[in-house]
Amino acid sequence: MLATHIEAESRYESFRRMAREAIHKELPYGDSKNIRLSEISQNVLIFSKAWAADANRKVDWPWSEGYKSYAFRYPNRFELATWYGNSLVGLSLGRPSYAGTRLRLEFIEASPSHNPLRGRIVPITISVAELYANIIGASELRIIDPIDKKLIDYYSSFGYRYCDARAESNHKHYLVKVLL
Amino acid sequence: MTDKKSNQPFTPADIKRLAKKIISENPIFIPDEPTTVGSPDNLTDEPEEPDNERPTKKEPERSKK
Repeated sequence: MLATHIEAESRYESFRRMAREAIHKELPYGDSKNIRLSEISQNVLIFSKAWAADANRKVDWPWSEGYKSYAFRYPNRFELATWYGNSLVGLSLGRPSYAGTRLRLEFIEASPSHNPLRGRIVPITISVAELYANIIGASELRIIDPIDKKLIDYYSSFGYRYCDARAESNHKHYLVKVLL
Repeated sequence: MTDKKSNQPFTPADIKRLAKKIISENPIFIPDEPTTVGSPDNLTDEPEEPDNERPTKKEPERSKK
């Protein structure tokens, strides 16, 4: 690995950590002390393997293999692991666009079963992603393929705008918020 | 990517203020939250070309009467 790559990884991880820590301090929940926000470490990837055997899981994507190549390719990526106590309950990935003017939040997955943070994984993830986008100088956050209509309606009432598939060159629909 | 803005680092106070603002302006709970948003397929999209990076225009605010 080149020294410049290592330097970039370290630099952007410091930005990700800033975003995680600052949002965690402001979480408005009574049980916030049980919530932990972390990077996606080797330990996280080991925990993620338990999801693969869960019959309720909606996707068949191996975090342990998929994450490594994504992380290597995009040192400036957004990533978040969300914990409740000792349970891994959420994972997410995204990346800035080519020129860094926008952050794409590409995939959020919550623990398929027994998730004490159900209802809070997406709000926490999007809040950390918004702060990370601000820190790296992106002027908008796009949630790619939001899929769920209730989610679209909900976020549309909180300053996000829905754009259909024709609006993006690669034909993905998304929710977008212009950041300050 | 260009690091125009990130070369001007936020102070800890800026970060704290932004975090407070973000939390206050976003939902803190979503009823019937889906277990996935987006898709792993998005992770393999080719990066957008710079020419396609026209920032989304902010909705014009209506003038107050």
